[in-house]
Amino acid sequence: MRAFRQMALVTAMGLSTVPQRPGRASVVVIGIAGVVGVLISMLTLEASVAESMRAAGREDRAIVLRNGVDHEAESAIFTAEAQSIADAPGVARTADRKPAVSTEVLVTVSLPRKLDGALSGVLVRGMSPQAAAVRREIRLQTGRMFTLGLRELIVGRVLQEQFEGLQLGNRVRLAGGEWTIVGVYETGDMWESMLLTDVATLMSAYRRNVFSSVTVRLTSPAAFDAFRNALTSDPTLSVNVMRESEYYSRGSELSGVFITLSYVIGAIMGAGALFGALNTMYSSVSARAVEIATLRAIGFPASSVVVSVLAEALVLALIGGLAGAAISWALLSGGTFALGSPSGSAVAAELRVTPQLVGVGIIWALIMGLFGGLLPALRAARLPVATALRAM
Amino acid sequence: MAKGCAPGRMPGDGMKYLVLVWAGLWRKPARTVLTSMSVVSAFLLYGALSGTMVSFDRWLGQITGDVTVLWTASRVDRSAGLPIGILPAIERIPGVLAVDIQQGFNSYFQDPKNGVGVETIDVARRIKYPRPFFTVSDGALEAMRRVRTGAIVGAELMEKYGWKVGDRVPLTSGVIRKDRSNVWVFDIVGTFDVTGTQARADQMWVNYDYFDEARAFGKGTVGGVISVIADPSQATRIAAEIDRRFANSPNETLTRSLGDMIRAEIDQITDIKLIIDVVLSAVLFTLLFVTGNTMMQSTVDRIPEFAVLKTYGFSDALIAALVLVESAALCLISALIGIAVAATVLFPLIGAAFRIGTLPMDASVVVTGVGIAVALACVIALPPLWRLGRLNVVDALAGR
Repeated sequence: MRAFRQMALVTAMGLSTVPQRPGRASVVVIGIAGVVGVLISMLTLEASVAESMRAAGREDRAIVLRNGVDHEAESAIFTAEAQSIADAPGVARTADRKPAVSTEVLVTVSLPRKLDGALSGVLVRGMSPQAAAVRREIRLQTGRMFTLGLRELIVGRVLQEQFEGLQLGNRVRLAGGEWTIVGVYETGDMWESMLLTDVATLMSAYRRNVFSSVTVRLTSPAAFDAFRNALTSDPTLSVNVMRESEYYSRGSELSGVFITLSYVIGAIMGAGALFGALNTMYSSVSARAVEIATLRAIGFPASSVVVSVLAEALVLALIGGLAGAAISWALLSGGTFALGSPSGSAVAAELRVTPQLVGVGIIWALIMGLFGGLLPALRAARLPVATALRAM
Repeated sequence: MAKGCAPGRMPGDGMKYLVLVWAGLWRKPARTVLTSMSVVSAFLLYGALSGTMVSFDRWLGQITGDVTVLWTASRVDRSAGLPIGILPAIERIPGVLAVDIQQGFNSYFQDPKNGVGVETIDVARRIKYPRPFFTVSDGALEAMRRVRTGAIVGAELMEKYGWKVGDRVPLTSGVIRKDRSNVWVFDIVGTFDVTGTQARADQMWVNYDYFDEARAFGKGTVGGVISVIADPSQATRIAAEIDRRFANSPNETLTRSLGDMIRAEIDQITDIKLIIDVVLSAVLFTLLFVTGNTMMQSTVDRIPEFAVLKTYGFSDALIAALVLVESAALCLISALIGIAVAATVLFPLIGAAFRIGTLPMDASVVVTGVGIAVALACVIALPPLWRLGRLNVVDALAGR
């Protein structure tokens, strides 16, 4: 107890002198704030996209693609096959007893981005009339639903933010001429980075006679196995059946690269800041040499000196970490970011700095604080008392 | 500068000053090493990030080779492409030397993990316009004319699966055949390899005619049309002319140079350039603030020593030069170490991760890095210099 009180006293005293050394303290705080800010920001970009993809997949939905294909963009499903899929066991029914099935077609078009006006790929997805019973999360924010048979589109909220000319009433040039934007929808996930329309209208404009994929709502998540078995054992079908949650949880092909890049940059930059912190803490120990020697001379143990120096480093690191997190939050929150795959179009997501990522950043900061404080703390403990006092 | 400022009592001997600078640097070795490591970290990241961006741009430029290549795709449908019938019309546009098709598909061999990229080629056009960087085995293109199901396979791919010329390989793909199967069988009639790092031999080439005839959907279309033009300075005009030719037709086109097309594809993946720029600014600001502050502190700590030099008759300008040279030496050496480590250690890793081979570090990156290091040294030396100018020797000697 006594030792603990001594440590607390010395620590409090050490910390109280920090404001007298603002230049040195700022080296630690700003250095670590920069590292944590960069790390949290980069991780947030990736995590927001991954989360927006993950959120799009539901346990109680299944997606059916061509056998041997694992992306909708490359898949083809015949009309007859779509009928067999709709009739399979485990498919939920709509209020008017129709199967809850959406036969879909994907087309990638080029539209100008707001960022730099460059033409970038955008997905246009045709859905069947029962789609509303399959994807119940699609909510119209403004405007109205597209009309079957007409060249009308509804636009996702995030896509509308990222691309030019997608306001309500705007006309977009797709195959077959001008298509009108009649509504804006939201889903809270990656589906907000698409244009949606009636599948039959899209197929006739693009002269397609096969679907890209079929998505069904199951009566329950447990009905998946029966549904898949029925399709894979049907000799007339050659399809790849996946739970939708599994399909979307694979994330972007670039997620792994992006996360690795974030941590490599965080580590190298962290090392740079750590050397700065070490410098600062060493000179902080030198500056307090007389004070530390005096404490030791009047009987405070070396351990309380070690704790005091370490605590100083950790407190400065924590302040830096929090400042870094605050900077990321201020810069990113509410913004949108797109991360795509080389094969398809980009997935745009709304950015959210999550508590988990702030936690990662704070841990990163404390690790830097710990390493930056440890060696100087040991030196402080080994400071020869007599020599230091003579320096007075 | 140092020489011109030499005081009368000290004969102009550059070595003497270098010794002073050296002594100043190693006055507190631990501090100097730590500071240097911070600067090394900053320039390691600078070299890796900025160097990759510049080298990658350079690499993209090389892909197009010494001829200018234009790329034409559908404006309204990236996924389906253009009817092959538009090729003659593009070929007739003045300035276009040759046109070729671009149509590929993804497939796998035996296991979905074994992806195989397949490019369909028009043999006659491929003979007329051989692609730069590719060398095809003797007689392979002629054999493709005889064997409809023939394939010319990249050396890397041959080795990966232990294939030999004469082998018959089945590939599973999302492209459905007329017989409703999605297994494509090809006969290997030859191989190709690549020269340099601009391309890779990890694909295979098959006959477009056979592919198009056998597929169930999308007959008669190609993903894109490649035009080789004679005069690179005419690229913009010819691209606009191609697009004008098909404006308001069912097949509106979008024509860009091949380099621009690849760049746009990369931009589409993510705003990578923007991210790198922002990260790099944050890295440089943070680490240079850290080191700058530390080095400034070190100089300020030594003000009494400068006062000693002043009493020996060193002029203000000479002391300023010594301070500047010292900080410049530390910054420059550390910066060059950082960039060198980026080029020798990180570049091969980056090259391997993106499968583009090790790119050379561009000289412009080194020059800009040296510029940043010198600017940093000047900023660091400024505050102490300002204090030196107002130095009261008596106070400074007394440590006040």
